[in-house]
Amino acid sequence: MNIKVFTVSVIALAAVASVTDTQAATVTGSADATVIQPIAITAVNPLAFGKFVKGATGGTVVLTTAGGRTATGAVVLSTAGAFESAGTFTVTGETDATFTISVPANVTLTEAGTSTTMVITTFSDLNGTTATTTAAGNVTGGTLTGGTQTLYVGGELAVGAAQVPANYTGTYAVTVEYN
Amino acid sequence: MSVIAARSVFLERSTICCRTLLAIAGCNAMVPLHAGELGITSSQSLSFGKFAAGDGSVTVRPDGSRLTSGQVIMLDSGPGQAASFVVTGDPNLTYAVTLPGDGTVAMSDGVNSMQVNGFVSSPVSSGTLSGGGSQLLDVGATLEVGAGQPAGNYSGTFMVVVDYN
Repeated sequence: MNIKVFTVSVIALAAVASVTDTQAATVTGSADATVIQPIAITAVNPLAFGKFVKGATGGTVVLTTAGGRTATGAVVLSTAGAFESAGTFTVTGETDATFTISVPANVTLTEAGTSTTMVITTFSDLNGTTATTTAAGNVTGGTLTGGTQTLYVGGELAVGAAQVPANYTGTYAVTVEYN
Repeated sequence: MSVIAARSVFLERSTICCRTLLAIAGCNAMVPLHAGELGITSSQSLSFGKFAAGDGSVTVRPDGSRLTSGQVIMLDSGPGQAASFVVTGDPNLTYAVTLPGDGTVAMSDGVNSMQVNGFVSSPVSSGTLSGGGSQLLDVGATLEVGAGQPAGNYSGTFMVVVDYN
């Protein structure tokens, strides 16, 4: 008698367990991510001030981002050879991405033999015009329209009255980074 | 013999139905208690948005905010979003949320992959259905990005399980 009652009860439990099984619900969610092209910068033209004579008291050579030169003070530009050029760089990466640009404010040029130096105060822009001046300073950001952007660097080179005539060279690092 | 077999079933289910062990009669009362089937549907996919790869990670929180670690750089043009699900069932009942464990979900662009770990949800681990019998469940996670992760569109899927408490 007791066994019979127990059997009925067990069946009832099994039915409840079955209902319990259907309580869980599962869904599949989707996930996505877009890894963009890494940003890159390539030096195209060197920042070159060409040839000039310092004159009695020195002065400056100003090189626009368009690549044209002017002299101040006693400095006289030489037209021998077409050595001058604005520094240009090509930045590539994700189309329409914005990025920051870091151009050093000053670049020091050194003469290898005597270790004497000259200092360039830089300025830069994204269109290579004659309008950008030392006072305007350096461009700090850009947009990769079409996935590319050119950076133009000019500068004002300070020439001392006693500047040793020689070839002066130096390097500068330009950094770009996605915003 | 049939009694023994049925009892074996009972023991397997005992963890689920443990409360009913105290009173067999009460077991029947549980049937109407959870009669409304629990459901879950996806209403918004999880997106880590756009970023430049580096050794690091991208985390999307359940509130949709995004942050990175290491060398990864986020782009504002692809902000990302948390996943959202709608859970439905009986009003005012609570349910447990089970999210994928670490190392079980990956996204691929067809060739390369990235692991998705650290799944988190809001509400955390357990939710309560509203008086209307529903609740929004938001899910975030952390995407592990490699230093040389190739550019591309990556996608994948993950499972979310909800169960009445």
